[in-house]
Amino acid sequence: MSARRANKRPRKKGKPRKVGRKSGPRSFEYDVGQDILHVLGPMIMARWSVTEALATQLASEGKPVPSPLAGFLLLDTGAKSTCIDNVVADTLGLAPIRIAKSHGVHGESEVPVYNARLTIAIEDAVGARTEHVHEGETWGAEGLTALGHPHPKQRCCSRLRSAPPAATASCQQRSNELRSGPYTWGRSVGGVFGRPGDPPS
Amino acid sequence: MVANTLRVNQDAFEAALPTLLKENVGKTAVFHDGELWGLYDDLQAAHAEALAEFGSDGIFLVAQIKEPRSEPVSFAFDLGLMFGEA
Repeated sequence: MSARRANKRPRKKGKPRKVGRKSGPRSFEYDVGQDILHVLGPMIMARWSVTEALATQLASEGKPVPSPLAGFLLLDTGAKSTCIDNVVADTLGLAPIRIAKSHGVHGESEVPVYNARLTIAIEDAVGARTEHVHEGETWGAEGLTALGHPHPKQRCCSRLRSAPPAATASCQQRSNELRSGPYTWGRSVGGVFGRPGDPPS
Repeated sequence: MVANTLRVNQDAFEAALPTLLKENVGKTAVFHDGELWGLYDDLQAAHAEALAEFGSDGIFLVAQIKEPRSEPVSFAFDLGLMFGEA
């Protein structure tokens, strides 16, 4: 018996097998392909925006409410907190609400903490839309917009150089596509880099 | 008069934290002009009140009252281990 089969939980007798929906997709298309997953990591579509409280305040002052910034959120299961690139926070006009102490391989440092709104929207093939909205503390981070760029830390690009030529070309081309445009980043820990024409709904 | 900056408010918050921890753990404090301005049950309520009082350009601190500790953001991100193949 294969290990996979051996680990399978036995189904209770008499209990009908669950079947998937007869209509609708069993999978979804994801236009950030394997090459990008391989090089940059797992990403999901998301939007950063100001909190409801700030939007209300800006409106009451007669000031424009910044449009949400859409793009990708890079998932990092080792992250301690959700992060937003300081450039993105600045673009949204967010002011830090406090300063947090952080440590890493760089030693100890202080990072600005923002109160921001993160929206993750999922839409299925028939247009049913689910939105997960979270407002809360978000740590400011440097360098998220540099993911995929030639970078002092040589993160992604050092990997690109060591990859086979075909994969290198493909990855670099896709990275170039993804970063050409008004892309913005954040992370969980990860990056939102927006895509031109994304509806900031 | 002390300049009202985030740093001033942060220093004031850290100085007041031992006292605040005695009776207000879990609440959210707002500091302005280097002084405690209010205590709230959650972050959003505190931020909304501070924005209404000081405006969207106001300088204030909003922080939860809890034991201070330095936290890692992401070692993987720092080290560049998140991406690519070996």
